[in-house]
Amino acid sequence: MKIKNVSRRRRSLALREYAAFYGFVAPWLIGLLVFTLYPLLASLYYSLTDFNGVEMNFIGLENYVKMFSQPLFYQSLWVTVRYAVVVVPLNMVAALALALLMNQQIPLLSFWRTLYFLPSIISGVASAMLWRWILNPDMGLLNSLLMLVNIESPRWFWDERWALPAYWLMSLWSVGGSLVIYLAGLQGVPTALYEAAELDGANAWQRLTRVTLPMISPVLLFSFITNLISSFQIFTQVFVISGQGSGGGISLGGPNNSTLMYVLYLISNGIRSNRLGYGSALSWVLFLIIMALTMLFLRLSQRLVYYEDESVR
Amino acid sequence: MNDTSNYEGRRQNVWIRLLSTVLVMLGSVVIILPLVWMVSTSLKTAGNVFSIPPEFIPREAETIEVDGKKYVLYDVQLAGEVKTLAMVRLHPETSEFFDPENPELRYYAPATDATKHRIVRFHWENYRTIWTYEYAPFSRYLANTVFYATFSTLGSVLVNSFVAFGFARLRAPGKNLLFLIVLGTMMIPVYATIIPQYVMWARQIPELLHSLLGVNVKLIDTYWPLILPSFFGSAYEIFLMRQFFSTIPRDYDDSARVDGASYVQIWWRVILPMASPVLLAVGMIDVMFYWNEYFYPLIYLNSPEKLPLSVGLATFQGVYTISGPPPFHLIMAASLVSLLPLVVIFFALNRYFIQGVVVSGIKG
Repeated sequence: MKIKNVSRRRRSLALREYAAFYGFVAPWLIGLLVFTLYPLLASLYYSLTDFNGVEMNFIGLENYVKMFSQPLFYQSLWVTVRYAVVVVPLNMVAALALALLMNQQIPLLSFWRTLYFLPSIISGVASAMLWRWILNPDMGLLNSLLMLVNIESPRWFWDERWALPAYWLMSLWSVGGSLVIYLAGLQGVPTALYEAAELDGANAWQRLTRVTLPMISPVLLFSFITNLISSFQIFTQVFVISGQGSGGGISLGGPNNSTLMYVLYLISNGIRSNRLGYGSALSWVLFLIIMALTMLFLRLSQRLVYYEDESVR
Repeated sequence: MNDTSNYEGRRQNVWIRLLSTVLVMLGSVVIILPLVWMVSTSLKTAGNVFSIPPEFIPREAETIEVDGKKYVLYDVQLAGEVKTLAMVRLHPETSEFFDPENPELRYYAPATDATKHRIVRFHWENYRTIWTYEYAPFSRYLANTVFYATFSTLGSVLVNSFVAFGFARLRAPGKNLLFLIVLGTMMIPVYATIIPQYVMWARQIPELLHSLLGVNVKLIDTYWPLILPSFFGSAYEIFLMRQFFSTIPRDYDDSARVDGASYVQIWWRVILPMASPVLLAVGMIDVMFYWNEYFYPLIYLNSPEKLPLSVGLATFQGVYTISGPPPFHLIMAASLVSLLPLVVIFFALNRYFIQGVVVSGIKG
């Protein structure tokens, strides 16, 4: 009799905990359904229609067929890939090199760290406007300095060969974000490992490649994937620099579509021209690309990344 | 410990430290130069923004007024001495000058011997000008951004910590599956869902409210689509907070349970106070994110008086550029003012900010 009571009591306690759990996660669950899953599925459906904001007719795969026959679609993919392929490694190598230097017990460490991070808190808009001014071909700071040393300076955002490199350069300015993360990773490597390596006669290069890099490889992998995802979705800078209201005669994604990033194409050809069906198809392709890249690199990295605590994965 | 090999190693270390410091310093110059240039430009006039070679300290030619006429001052070389004189007439061989202290006294010199008398002058009034520009209500932008960032951050920190508490502390069937979904939704790009989300706010939610409550509401061009979603959690921050909450010993919860506290009380009175450094760190990242957010406001807002700073700044640039060259001095002043609150918070709470970046792995 007594035992039965206890187990019933325990059961009702457990039931209360279940109910409490669903109560706690309810806001997220509702948000997931309303703001993520429904829109994701709806955009998949829209992508099979000619939805223009008012009318919607089912047209099957026509949007996708059309997409793959558009030169601008390929152009935007190509531009985005060229942006990401340069910016991600450039940023990571620069950030890692700086983090390694800063990890040599240099004086005023937190001062330097703060300084390098400062550009990262500056909004995409403000930094875009700043760089548009610094890279102004005739009166900008960089070209004026280059002129002083008699280097013939490129016209940056105004020249279709130099516009994309200008964005590479600009991305380097916000190296501080990754730098701060890597530095924290480096500081977490136990000194005992270095001492042991030194005892075994490892030189500086061996200590770097055999101890440091393996130990921070999870940090590097995570940073690589987030960098890749965000560089594939670059939008604000390009929109502000070449877009409406920027003045000075660059067309959106220009000159001559040389900076037509994928998201820019999605916005200008899908959303702003009210071809919402076509835009949805583009957004699903972006979603699939990002999923595929993430999966691919997670899979590829399985052998390259060392997890100290196996239970993490 | 004190053998010779170690001494050798330490001496090598001094050089490495020195070299590292020098390289880090050099790099920091490159990082800081654009910011200095931004400040410098913001204190110039439209005229001397375009000086070649570039000047970091704003200098300009000085002028004087004599009998209602303006004259530019020049440094003129006269028989070995340099005098500061006002120019009356420019001529290759015989430019005419007079002494500002004694206007009757005339001097003649070739134009090549005269250079403009430049003095350092900071145009702080640029910072006043941007507030009064009629087509770009800067103070409204600022107020809107403060409103947007405050409420979104508040909602985000509150709800994410609430949901994370459930994942970290409570047992229920289906929990692991739901947590996998949290992880899985982290990489869905905003651009993949934006079109249906827009349709939802523009049409479906107003229609639903109309049929349920009989009210007519317009949600586009309001802050509802921007702020409300942050009250429904974000996968990434739920994940981060859950990880942190899991490190807090359960003994605290248990003793609170014994004292008769409910789960909500445990979340509010036990976990939140203990997690406050992490909440502050994540909150800082949120403030930074919403302060700078450009895409959603661009999509959902149209009225000039409703725009936040991010979108407003871009309009600001556009409005000015319609006539004449862009007034870079005003654009830079406006950008700086828009960043200032964030920079102040950044320096005041630097430790939490950096920690926030580290735990979240978000790049700025």
